[in-house]
Amino acid sequence: MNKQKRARQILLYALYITSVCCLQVTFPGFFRLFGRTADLMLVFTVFAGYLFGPVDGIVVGLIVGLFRDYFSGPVVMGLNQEPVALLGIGMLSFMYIGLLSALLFRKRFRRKLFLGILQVELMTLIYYVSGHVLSYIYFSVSRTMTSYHSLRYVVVSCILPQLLVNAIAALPILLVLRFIGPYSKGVRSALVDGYSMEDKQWQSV
Amino acid sequence: MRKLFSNKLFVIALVSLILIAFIVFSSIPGSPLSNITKPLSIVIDPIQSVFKKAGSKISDFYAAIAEGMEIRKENEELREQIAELEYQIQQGEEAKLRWEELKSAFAIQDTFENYHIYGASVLTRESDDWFSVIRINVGERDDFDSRTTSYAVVDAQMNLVGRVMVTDEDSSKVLPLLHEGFSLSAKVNVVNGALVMLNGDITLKKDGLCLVTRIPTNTILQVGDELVTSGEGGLFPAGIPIGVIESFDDSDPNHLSATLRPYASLADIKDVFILVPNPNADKQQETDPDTSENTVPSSVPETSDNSETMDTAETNDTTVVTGGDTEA
Repeated sequence: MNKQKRARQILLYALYITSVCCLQVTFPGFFRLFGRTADLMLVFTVFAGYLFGPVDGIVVGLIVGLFRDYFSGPVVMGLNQEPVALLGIGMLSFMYIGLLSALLFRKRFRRKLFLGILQVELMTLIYYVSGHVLSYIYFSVSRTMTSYHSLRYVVVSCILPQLLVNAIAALPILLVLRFIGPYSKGVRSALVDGYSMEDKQWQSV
Repeated sequence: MRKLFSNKLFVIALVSLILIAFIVFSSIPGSPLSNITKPLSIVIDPIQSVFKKAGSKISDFYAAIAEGMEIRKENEELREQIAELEYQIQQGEEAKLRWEELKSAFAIQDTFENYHIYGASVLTRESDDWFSVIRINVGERDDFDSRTTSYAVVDAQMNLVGRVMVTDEDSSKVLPLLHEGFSLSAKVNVVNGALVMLNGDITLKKDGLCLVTRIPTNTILQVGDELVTSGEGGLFPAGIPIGVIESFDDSDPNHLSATLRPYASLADIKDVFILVPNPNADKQQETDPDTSENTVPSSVPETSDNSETMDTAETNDTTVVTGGDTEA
């Protein structure tokens, strides 16, 4: 990749990441449907990994996670029974989202465009299910709460609407990434993952 | 060594370990890792502000077009109201003079007389169920920080919104009232009202409610009873309105509990105000023993003396300071 292409890639990634992160936390009401806000950060990270491979997925995941930690990092009870804001949870979880998005079903999906939405749904499911399971464990162990959300609430009011809202938000992000960049022509030619791209079945619509 | 770092699995495991260590160290109170977001604040906050301003301008523009006819109508009505209000202002001026006379005669103090009030705008809101603190646009550059203490955050009607948790260079994190990590001592707003504990609760949060616990036995809370901050614990001044009782559960007499609906609705709030204890208040009390009995926050924590460096508009001891781009 020559310098010009590299600069374009970095510039576009920086633009996308700041836009996606800032939009989600500044105007959550605009992206809200069925009581849930579209998780633009998660959708973007999934697509970075799914379309452009594990390295892009991990790097984007780390940066998006850093933004998430910075803007609204999770709060837990500290050792002195005072709430403390944690740093790093967003980075860790989004790094793995980026990595998993690049690796899961890569042979089956072949990074085809609209199957990316399926990957977003899968990653949303993994993120929210694991988030609720870990929260449940944390509250049970720390005994800071006597009760947790009912399973029905988690499934019907949290996960299902979130899947729907993320799927809607995924379409414009997917089209922008595929047809504007960060890579010219929307395809990262270097990304073959050991498979030939000559059969034109990879990264096709 | 180079071979080791070329192993992708090793690199991922190493990064994961570093991040886990990061999480653990950031959970230690007073950890220097909390300062790591300060350089980020210098870069991210201006970008964030640009997004916020651009978004506000776009929404204002569309609102102006959509509501053009209504605005014209309202304008006519407002002109009539202005004339009426002018008259009321004149009457108010007279009433103010009388109030000042009464105040000095009976040594009455305003509720938050010994506090600076910083104005701030909400920059960012929650990301999801777990990343749910908010950011406001005042920070250490506005000459206050939360390393030694925390501050109460209220809305324009002086209702409690939350507390400042972390201050960065240009912004601060606020723990909202509904967050499950939030707790404070409150009291029922009647003479000799019962002291209770107010906590955020994960199951009640979705309905916009808080949990009230440690209600003294034989205390019966009525739906509609108002709770205010008790002033105990040292973080908040006494008397800040919190909300009203929504339900009361006395099924277990040893563990009475209630739910509270806060007055402040975070979803609608654009601007907030931070109450910072005035360090000069103690000095004034020493020099003016007559009014020392009326001091509101007996247990307010000490803060660094930052009042002198600020651009303030003082009225008596209460100071209103605008930090950042407050829209109100």
